[in-house]
Amino acid sequence: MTVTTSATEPPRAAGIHEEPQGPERAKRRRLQAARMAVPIGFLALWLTVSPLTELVSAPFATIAELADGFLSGWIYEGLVATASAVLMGFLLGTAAAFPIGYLLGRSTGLRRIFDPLIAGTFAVPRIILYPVLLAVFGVGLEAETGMVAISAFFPILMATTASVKQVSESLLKLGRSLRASRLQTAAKIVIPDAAPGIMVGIRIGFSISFIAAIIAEFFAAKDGLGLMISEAYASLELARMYAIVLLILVIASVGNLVLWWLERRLRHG
Amino acid sequence: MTGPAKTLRSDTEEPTVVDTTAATATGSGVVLDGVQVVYPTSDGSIEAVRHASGTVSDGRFVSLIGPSGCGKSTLLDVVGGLLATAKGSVSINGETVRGPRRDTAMVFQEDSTLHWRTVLSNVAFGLEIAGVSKKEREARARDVINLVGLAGFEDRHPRELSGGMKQRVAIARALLLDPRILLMDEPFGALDQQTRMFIGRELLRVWDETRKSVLFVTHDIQEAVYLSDEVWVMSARPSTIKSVITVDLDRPRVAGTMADPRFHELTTEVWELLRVESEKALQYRGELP
Repeated sequence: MTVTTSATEPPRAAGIHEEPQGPERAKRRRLQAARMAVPIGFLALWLTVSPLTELVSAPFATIAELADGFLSGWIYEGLVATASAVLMGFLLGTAAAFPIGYLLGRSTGLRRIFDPLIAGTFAVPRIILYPVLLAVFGVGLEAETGMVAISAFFPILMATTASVKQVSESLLKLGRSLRASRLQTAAKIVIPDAAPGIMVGIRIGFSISFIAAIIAEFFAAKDGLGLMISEAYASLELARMYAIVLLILVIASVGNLVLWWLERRLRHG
Repeated sequence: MTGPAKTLRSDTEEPTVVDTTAATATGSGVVLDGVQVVYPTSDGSIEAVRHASGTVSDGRFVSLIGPSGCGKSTLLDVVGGLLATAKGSVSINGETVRGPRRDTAMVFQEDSTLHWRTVLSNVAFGLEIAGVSKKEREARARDVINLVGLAGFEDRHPRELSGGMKQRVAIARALLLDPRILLMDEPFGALDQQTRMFIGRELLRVWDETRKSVLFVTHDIQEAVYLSDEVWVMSARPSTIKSVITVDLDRPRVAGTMADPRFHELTTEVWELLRVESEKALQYRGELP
């Protein structure tokens, strides 16, 4: 007779969003403890290693130097320069990558044309373009921002294309049968469905933005945390060097954590 | 009768409220007239449907059954205006189908719920696309949610629902558009046997209250006979509608309907017609000698 495939899932237990209790709460505590273990271990390692060598400044001296940087103000100029290059470049890169990625994800024809091109250029280390940007804009914020934008562009483009391409066929069919306009299809079906995947690209793009800015500053810049690190290194001001490294570590981690949290929110509603 | 004949997909006016009680004398219902569907492929083309003709009269529940890969879903997509015919035409109440229309609504086999939206917002989605205000569409959505038995789940997300409940959401979303014709593409195909029997009965209850015309694609003979007024049996590809079986079982159909000797006769009759075609289809695919 007829063949029936069975593929149902049981309904999830009720109260999925309620505060966990009893064993659930203990589980959550253990999870949080496990998460804290890594930074604590890192700090312990730092405390152990720093007295052994002159090349690593002690945690306390580093934090004191960083505090001094904020109190006496020597850190602001570099911080503002790097932060604006990262933010502006990241936004520019996203603004370019997102619509292009969307179009590529939606159109097989466009993908056929551009896929080899993107796959090819993706392997090129973006930093080789920095001298070109320096030649065009001169040393300064413009060239650095441009470098950041180019670096952020590729991961966001690729993630957007891939996630838009994977939007479920039945949702697109639903959109067509409801006579959704192009704009409605994009805003109400494709982008929300692809959002978690796009966010992965944005998160990677953000990390790469930071890397690009610091490397660009190592190379040639008027201001910036990267420049300050290389100057501190050259003049053997180790406490200052580590202070800035620590600051970058914190900013990049917090920024990425915010994006990660946003991504999880998108994924789980 | 059915309001403006515009079938452009970007057209987003208020959906026309269809008066299901009054059918026009000529060309009433869905008329398939010699429909041929051809798919382009990388090496030439495939004739998915060769010649399909038939009429779904107003308020009738018609099942479309056939061997797998025979083009049942393709034919449904044509009626839904998602696919164009190579030859022949489909008309609804005398108007040729040239694209998705306001008076048809579709339910798909795969999960088509929007996972980032709640049940309420999923059900209201069709009206949202049509530009109905939030207040109005949500009020109307609540009624339909009650009708399909999802009351109390308005604020849940699809991931908190079972497969059967997700299909109820899809059915509610289609019903809210108040279509004249409901096009269902194996809506219970991914559900287990028990669930699909219960949800099938629920569907009949809802259909009884709303009396839409239904074109229902399935590969399950018992489901087809149990639900329908007519079962259209399709041949293997390139397909035609081979026979139409009128199901003369009493309504409302109940659990006992399946024990009725007539039910058994009808399913046997459908199976006999289908067996030959299924064999052909399997031989064609190399799964039978």
